[in-house]
Amino acid sequence: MRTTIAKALKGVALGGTLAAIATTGFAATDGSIGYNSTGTLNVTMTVTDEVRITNLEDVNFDLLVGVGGTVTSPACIYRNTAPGDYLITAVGDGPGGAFVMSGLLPGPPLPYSVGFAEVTGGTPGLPSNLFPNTPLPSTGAGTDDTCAAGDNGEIQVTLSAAAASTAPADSYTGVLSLTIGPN
Amino acid sequence: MKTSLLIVVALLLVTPWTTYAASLQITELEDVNFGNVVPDARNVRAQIRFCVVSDPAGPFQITAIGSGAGGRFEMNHPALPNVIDYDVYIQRIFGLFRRQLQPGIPNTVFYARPRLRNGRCAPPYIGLLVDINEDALSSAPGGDYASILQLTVAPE
Repeated sequence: MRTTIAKALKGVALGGTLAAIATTGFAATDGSIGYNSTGTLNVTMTVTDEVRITNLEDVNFDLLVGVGGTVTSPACIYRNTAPGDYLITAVGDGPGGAFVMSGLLPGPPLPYSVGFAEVTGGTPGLPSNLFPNTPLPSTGAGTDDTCAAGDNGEIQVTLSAAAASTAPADSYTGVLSLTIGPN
Repeated sequence: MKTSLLIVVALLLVTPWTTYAASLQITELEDVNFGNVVPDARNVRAQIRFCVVSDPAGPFQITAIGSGAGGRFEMNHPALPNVIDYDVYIQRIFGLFRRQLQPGIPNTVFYARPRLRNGRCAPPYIGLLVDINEDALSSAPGGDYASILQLTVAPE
């Protein structure tokens, strides 16, 4: 019996927008008439607060024979505004965003759980459980959107032994969407 | 009566000196607002137009000074030390002529005319272009950035 379970991760980034426009206290002023004439004007812009999640990889449990396990994907969390606090939200492709994998054959879906760990210096911290559609406050987003110094997040996908041991032989797949937002 | 006479005499005395000096005015200036900008890999540009009137007509020079150190053209973040540099160009509206301005350096650009009889600016209007390079934006933290740009015109 050969059972393959594959999962795909999909990242989504949301940008929050800072609403207010900068003002310098006055509007443009014309110059007065004379040999010289000097006018002033304001130059303003609002740079939006941006976040991004990249470097995600598909995770694959490969062959399962009645035992569960945990597989991981790296994640690079970027935010252009310090401090790098953010919210991470996971949504599966089951009903109501449930974390499940579906087989090719008719049968019950295979549930899994999702954890997220902040990574510092290449070492994952204590993971927190993610629940469907429930934002998890996190910290430590980097200002380098490529994470050249190393990824700063880890997605952990766990299939319990109980779920694995009762699953009919099949190939199971699911899609996990991760959304990052400023916090 | 004596006062009026004195004023007339005074004007007559002053007039020969003032009529030979050009009189300029920079007018119809507007603020430049880029609005919300996403710090991705692209350049952004904003443009306004303004007017310079001169009596008598003649060429003029324009000098721009920003509010950064040494008159640099840079916008400041309200809370962080980050700045966003920008470039300033002067251009004749509907024309191809364009010249980049450097902080504090006078640049002769156009010919200005006296104000029209209806009080309006004599064309051509002058375009002010403010460019921000993608490199200046890509590392910018979110927030409201502001700068003051001073433009001075003088006879050439």
